[in-house]
Amino acid sequence: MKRVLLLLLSTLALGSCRCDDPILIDMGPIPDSILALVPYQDGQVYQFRHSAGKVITYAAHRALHEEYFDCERCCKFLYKYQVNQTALVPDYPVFTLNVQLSNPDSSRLEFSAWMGQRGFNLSMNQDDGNPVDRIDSAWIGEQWHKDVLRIRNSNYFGFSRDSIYADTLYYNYQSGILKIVMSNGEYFQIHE
Amino acid sequence: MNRPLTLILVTIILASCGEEHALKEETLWFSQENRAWIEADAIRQPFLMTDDNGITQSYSMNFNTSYFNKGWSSFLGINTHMTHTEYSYIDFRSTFRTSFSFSLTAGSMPERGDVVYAELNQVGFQYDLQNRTLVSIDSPYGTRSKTITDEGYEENDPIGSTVEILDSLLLGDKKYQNVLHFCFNDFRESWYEYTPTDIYIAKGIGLIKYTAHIGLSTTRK
Repeated sequence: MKRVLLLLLSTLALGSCRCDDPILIDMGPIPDSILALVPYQDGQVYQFRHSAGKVITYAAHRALHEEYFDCERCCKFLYKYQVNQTALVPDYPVFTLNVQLSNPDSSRLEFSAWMGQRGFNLSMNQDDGNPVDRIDSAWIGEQWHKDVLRIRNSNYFGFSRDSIYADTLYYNYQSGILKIVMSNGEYFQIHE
Repeated sequence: MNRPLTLILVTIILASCGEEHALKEETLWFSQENRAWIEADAIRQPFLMTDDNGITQSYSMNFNTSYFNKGWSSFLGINTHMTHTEYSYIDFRSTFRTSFSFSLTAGSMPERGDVVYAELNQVGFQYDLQNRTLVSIDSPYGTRSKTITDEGYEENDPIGSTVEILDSLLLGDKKYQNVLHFCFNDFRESWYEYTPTDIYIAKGIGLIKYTAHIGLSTTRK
């Protein structure tokens, strides 16, 4: 009798370790209005000029994929969301410029740019640690650009011991990356 | 009766030494002359390089290690000879993700002296400093190597690349002594514009210059 009881208790104890399947929550597609915050088109080329004069051509590779997010164990929900990733690949040995949008939950949009081992958070609806200035207009690359975000790198994500790194990013929703100022004062700016 | 028993006991005792001990042990150190290729303090310091178009990148040490590689030979399950070979390795990454690694392995026999291995963006070479021999090249396009024998190195596939040690090299206003110059000449048909073709490494300093297939040079500041 004792054995049966023990077996029953063990079964119950082990059974309680099982997790229920999480409920899938599909965050749906990233709205077009959000996708438009990154103006790059897949297959197009874009140019940036280095402060010393070299013009570098970048080929845009833009693609959408799905990712899943859950907690570590016995999650109630499993989130399925979209990631829209753009890589501007240079025809010269400098870093690739990456911009990424994603909607991991309904309350926030993840919008980031990174180059080399340093990144910038472009999400304006959260305290992301990147000091941001909003500039009405800025003269960059031989023309005026409106509503420019100037974001200082606070090493919020990414880490490197590089003494030269992308320090400040100028970005707007019409043209994308306008200028990247390196920590040694050299810069890459849009060349149109 | 006692003799076979003794023999068996000795065999068991020796065999039980496993990988830790051998009848003869030897430690191979870098030659004093070559140690400075990798052990100088300056080697581990971050440095800057600028290309012909004035674009600057910094190089920071990513990883370094030094240890003794263990090797042994055995007979009838008994380790007869064990060697501990000194080895040192260092690698760097740059702002633009250029990778550079450099290592030194102590020579293991008179026919094989201390060997340096250097690699820039996946194009690497192994060079015997004592015998002044390019031992192997390694690249995304293929590898070529020589085999070490009792008589010295034997060529399997002819290696078109070369290595020379320059007494000095002047870059801008800086003069570097004892410069290893690797000139990559194999698999040319597979190269792309920025394949490294010339790599210069100064003794006690590290990477000082490299040139890409397109002719673009990047030089230490």
